[in-house]
Amino acid sequence: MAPSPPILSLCSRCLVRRIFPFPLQSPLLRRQRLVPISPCRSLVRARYVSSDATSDATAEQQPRQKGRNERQRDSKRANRERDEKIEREGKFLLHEVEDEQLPKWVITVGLEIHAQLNTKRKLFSDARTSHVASPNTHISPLDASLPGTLPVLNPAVLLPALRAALALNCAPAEESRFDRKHYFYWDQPAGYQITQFYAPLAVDGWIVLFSHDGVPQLEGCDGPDDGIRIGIQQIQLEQDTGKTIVSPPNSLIDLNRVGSPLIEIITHPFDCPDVLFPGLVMRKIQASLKAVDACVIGMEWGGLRADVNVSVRLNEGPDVFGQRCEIKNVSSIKAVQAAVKAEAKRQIQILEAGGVIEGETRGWDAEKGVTRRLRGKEGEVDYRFMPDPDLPPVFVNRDLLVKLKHSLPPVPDKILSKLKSTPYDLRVKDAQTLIFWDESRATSTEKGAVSYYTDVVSKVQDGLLADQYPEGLKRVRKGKLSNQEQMLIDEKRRLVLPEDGGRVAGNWVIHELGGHLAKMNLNWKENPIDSQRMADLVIYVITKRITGPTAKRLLFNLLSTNPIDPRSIPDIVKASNLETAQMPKEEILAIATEIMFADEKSREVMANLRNADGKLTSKRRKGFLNFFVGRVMKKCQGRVQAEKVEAAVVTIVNKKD
Amino acid sequence: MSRVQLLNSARKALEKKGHLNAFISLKPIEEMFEEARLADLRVADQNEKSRIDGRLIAIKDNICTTGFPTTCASEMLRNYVSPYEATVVQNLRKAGAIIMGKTNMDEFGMGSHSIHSIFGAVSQPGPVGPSALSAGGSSGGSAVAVAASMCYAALGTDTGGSIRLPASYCGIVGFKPSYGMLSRWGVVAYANSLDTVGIMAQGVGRTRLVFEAINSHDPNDPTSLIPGTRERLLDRLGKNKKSKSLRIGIPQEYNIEELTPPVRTTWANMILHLQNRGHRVLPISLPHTRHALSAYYVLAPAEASSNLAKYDGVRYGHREEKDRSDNEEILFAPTRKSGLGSEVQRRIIMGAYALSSEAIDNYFIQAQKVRRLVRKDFDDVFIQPNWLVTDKDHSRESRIGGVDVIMAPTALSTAPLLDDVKSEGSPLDSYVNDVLTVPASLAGIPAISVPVMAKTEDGEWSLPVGIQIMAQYGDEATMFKAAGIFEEEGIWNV
Repeated sequence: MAPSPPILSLCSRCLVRRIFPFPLQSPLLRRQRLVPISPCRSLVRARYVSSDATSDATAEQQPRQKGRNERQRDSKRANRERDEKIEREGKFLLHEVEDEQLPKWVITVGLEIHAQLNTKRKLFSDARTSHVASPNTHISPLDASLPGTLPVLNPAVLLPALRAALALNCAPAEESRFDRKHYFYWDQPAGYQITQFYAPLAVDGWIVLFSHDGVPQLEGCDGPDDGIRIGIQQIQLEQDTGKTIVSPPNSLIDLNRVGSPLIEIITHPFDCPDVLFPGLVMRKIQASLKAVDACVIGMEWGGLRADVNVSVRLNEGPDVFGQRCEIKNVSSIKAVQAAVKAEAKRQIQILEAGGVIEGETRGWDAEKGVTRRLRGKEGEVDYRFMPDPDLPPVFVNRDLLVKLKHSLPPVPDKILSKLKSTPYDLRVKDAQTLIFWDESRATSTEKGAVSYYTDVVSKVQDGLLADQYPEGLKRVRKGKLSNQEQMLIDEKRRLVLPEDGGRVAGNWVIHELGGHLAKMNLNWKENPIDSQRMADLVIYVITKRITGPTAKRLLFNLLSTNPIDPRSIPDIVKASNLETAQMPKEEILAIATEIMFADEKSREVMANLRNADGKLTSKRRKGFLNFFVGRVMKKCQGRVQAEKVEAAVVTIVNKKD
Repeated sequence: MSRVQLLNSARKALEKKGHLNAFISLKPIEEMFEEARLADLRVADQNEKSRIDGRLIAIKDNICTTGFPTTCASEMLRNYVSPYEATVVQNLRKAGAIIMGKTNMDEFGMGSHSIHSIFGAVSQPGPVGPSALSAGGSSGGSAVAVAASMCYAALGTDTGGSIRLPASYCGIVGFKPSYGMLSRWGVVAYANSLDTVGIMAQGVGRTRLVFEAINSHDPNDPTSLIPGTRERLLDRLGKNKKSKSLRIGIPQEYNIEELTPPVRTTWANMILHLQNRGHRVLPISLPHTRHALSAYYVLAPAEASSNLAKYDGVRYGHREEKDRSDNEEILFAPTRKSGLGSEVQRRIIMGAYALSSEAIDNYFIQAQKVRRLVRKDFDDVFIQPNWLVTDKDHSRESRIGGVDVIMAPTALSTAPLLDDVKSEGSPLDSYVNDVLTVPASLAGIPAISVPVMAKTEDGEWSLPVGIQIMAQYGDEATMFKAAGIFEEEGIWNV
């Protein structure tokens, strides 16, 4: 028989190093898939990046490189955006660097953003998520960490988490796993948080901040026309903690939030053009999450919280990151901006005084506007990350991802570029107004201002098409078109809309209708004018069947009667005889002549016009003419087209009899 | 015999042998009689709920029950009553079993002699005089309850041998199923990736009956085998089951110096005996066995340090007064210091170290690698492939020399004297007891310890020796078949 070996020694020589150990900690972990386990690359990357500053630097350079390539491709778009430059520059003034110190220094920031996933039930228990329920009413045995409980993944959390990953251009991992992060705290019942440390849900994403996101144009910086690209290192699923309610002499604990699903979004470190920039990044991420309905947004619920890593280095100095400090648990965009500014200032002051920055964890004191030291490196908690032995890995099916990708609502940038292009051709400001209105919707599937506007434009096209090609449209409605005919119709739809048709419709939806709704304190859900009526109104304006002033009055009347007039726009126009009067030229001339010499004021203006002999600036001349046009229009009750009136007025002025 | 008659004899054993300290809590005897009467009525009506209807079952005190406290023999949970019941207990009640009480154990399952209990050590009567023997641990209470005929069967838990070792010492059958067979929902975790619920009884048949009554998928346990996998395992393993004789592997690495003479002799006799009966006995090698114990004592404490972090006294259980007021102590330290026993604290500290950032690469990760190699060792020797992780049959070559089951001793020795184990100097001395049982735990395969009584050289009956039978993952059927043969073919007269 074999001799007995020493029993209690761990021989490392005979171990095969290339086998990665984690998948084997429970024999069941692999039960659902029968594939060989491959070494986990994401672990290597995750640890490498987090522990090694130089690798961070290379990761940072890569997206920059891509930005340059994009710039060449997109030079056409740059031209188109030139129009909006004035507007943009107006905005930049707000972000002017306030501190003389700052240009000497480069501020580098990395964000770890926690967002609550929008789900009914918790990550690993079937207790409901809640924000307003009375304390300790939504707790399962697992949430209270009772002995003998086990976590079971709620698959419903994967959908919003994956939507978030896709919205931030991340690659969801085919296999991700859960780990335990240990620390003692009274609002953490298990003594550990289940998170994804070694193999996160998704990695390698990015977002791009454009000028319309408020990114400043600074000298020497890459122009914002092509955007500044911020890398997303990873997105991981994790459990939320409970809440502590301080009520001296006690601290009361509410476990309702324990186990609610969070995602943590970790950005690569990025250089900031100014101290407000990290806030813009956070806002952009927030808007993307909101657009795809991934998260509960709302600061009062702790919907979005961030840990902010800040370091500074000399602008002229070597290209190595400075020592970073982490500011924990900053809970709003404004607080992020203020905290970065305060922290950068503190670090710069230390460095300029010849000091050294210590790596430490700091807290944000919003009242005093300063960060304060929580603990230094020596006080760091060793989280003792351990693969969770109960939870199997998450396998994300490729088909599911494809389906999700297709059903994903567009992110604001995509909506913006759509609204900026034909047939809409909206100004950036108007497009952003529509998108901004949509942010107050409960879910991204709810119809909002953007879809209302695009509906109006599409119906305007239909209406115009019906006017011009009545036969063709009948067949469209019956759906009996060959591909070729369909293409023809599409082409005609495009052509039928006047060049400024999209903008005109935009004016009417945003400024006229939107203005009224704002005054009446209504949101888009409560808008009483359906898109067909709005489209009819716009068609009548575009085809000059009614004049602008008539249309405004009509819209106002519709909105101010309750219940709303059930008749269609054409019916109302017909019944109230609002259609632009087809007045003969002579008749307009006669009315104009009558008015233009009716009183002292008119005669004075006329004299100014006639005796100026070209000395008038065109602006003044236009002003005098408009004086008459207005009066004549009023006389005609706004039913005569302004151009015709203007022509008549000019004729009379030039007559000189 | 009727259920009431059986209960009467169990009552006598309970009354006579209360000093063995097998139970922590016990159902009032009148209630047990009431349940037994109802079961007898069902039997008379031929309307039994199952084959264990009306049988007395004892439950280890780390399995949650709503009718009794679930203390884990720890100060931390001395008065803790679970608001919910473990799935295995629910299954037993559905099958009509009488849940008679909770059995004593090592605190949180950490120990090999059932002496680390706030309710005092479990013991079993020695062969001569008043000197008590160790019942083994950590399911010592369950083992003694079965051995002393206080119950029909008992549930225990086995993390690294906690069922098989006490079964071996007490001369009963102790069975640890494949990981993932029996639900762990409601089983207080020691080391989740190793913990299994198992069954202890007098005889393989009873063990199997109880197992079949409670073996089902549980959606509350993420590691419970899903029905599809269970069916697949049954289907794949169901082939090649015709041969009556077994191919039995004898692992050379288990024949270590520390084996005591009665154990080695019994094992050798068993080999001869089985050969004579026409079974094929083959020497096999499980080369990584030597590292299994070290790996186990890294992994199990590491998981334990994590699992036991929840005992902070905030929501339930013991809480130290000092923790209620502001004090200079570290958060929860006073509560955990007074609420957890020394062995538990030792393992938590060991585990926390193994997971710390400076040690994880050299301890936890290395131990995981060893675990994988240990499992591969088993996959290499069994005829059946590990159907859990593969769906391809072995090649023809690897079948040559393959075995149906592995036979080895369960423990290094017969039951030692309780006084001896209490005075052991180093905790390592008791850790060594697990050396023969942890490989099956690390691999997640089923194992059963069957008692063998042997005569010593001078013709006296020795204390019972446990012989362990291990089979491929999910192959409980072959394991039970082998255990049945061992039992039937005259284990009492080797």
